[in-house]
Amino acid sequence: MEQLARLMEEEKEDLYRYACYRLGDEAEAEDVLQEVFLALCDKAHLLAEVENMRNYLFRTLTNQCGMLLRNRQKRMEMECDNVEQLQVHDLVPQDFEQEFRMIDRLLGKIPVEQSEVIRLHIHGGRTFADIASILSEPLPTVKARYRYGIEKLRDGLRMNKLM
Amino acid sequence: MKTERDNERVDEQIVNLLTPKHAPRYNVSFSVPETPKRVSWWRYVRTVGVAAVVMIGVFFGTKILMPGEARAAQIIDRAMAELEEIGSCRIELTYKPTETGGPSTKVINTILRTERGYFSRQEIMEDSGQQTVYLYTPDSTKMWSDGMLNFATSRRNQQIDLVYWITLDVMGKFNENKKNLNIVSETDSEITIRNEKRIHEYNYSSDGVFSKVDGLLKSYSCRIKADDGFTVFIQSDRIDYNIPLTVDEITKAP
Repeated sequence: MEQLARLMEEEKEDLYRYACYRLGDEAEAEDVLQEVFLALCDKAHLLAEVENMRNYLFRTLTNQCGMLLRNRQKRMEMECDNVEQLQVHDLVPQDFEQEFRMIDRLLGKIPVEQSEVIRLHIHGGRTFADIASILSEPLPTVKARYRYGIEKLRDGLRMNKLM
Repeated sequence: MKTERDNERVDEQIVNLLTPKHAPRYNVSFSVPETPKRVSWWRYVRTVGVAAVVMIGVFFGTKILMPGEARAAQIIDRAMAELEEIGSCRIELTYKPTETGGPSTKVINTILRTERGYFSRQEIMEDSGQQTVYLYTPDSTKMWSDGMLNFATSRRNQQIDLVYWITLDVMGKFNENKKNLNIVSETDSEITIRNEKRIHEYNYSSDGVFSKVDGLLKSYSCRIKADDGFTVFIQSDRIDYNIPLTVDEITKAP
């Protein structure tokens, strides 16, 4: 338990940043982190068998965020229907809320499996090897998803004359 | 025609766009409470005490096999009507080993009813000076220990949820059982109803004093005896209804 708490302390900024930009809500991100911590505390006796605890933390967090997002998917879809196209000034956000909306709109244009790799790499600070372990995917697949995701974003931004 | 170099430059810009510059900071610590070398009285009593507060709810809702009592039933009917109008309530309790002494712990329970649901705050002040605050909202549960948030979840913790003891649902159950009330004393203005119950290894005996004027609970006491001889005495010091209170006030961090 103490080891888990220490690890959470060490990783909390990366975990929190990932959750914030995944969920778009600071309070909800705090709740999710606490839930992850408590859920892992509950099964602390099983954690000794986990090979890479840091990656396991992220896997638990991504699952938890995914569950929350699925629960509110309908609402999000309705909101997305009304989302206007990105404008040049949207690319210079002034606060977390604006930044989240910009990033969410950008990543919303590419497949989820690609955006998830990008989120874990850029927001969660994970290496591609870590991400391969977190998502249980081969390393080349993870790298390809990142590359294709960035390429699609590039094409989309150019098409809209934002780059 | 875009060159490879152009693409690399744009990709760098995209990564830069996706890199958070306004990420919120996370200030909550993850700490596992240290096991105290000597378990304090309150820590030992907490399981019992929590159950005892829940017992207030049980007090209202339990069927007691005693002859029917029309006057008590009228009081409960009146309480039902009064509760419709109550938006907030605060009950201050003292926990002690016996009625006459020992280390005491003060507990203040505050409840606010809103359109969103019930908000409940439990402030615990141990004799050692440690202060703990539990907050239950319709969406979440939080706990602060000596001012530091060290527990928060979007799930509600039903185990120590104190909200329901004053709710109409509970009073409704009480209403169904009003023919089976154990009235231990009565004056012109008050009526005392006793509930005795065994939960797990604990024997509880609770007395609730109700006003005959408005039917509301005016004071509460409870004696608990565990099979191993451990005892707890709980006494309400004060109960206030309809206190001026906002959601911001009840949910503020200590």
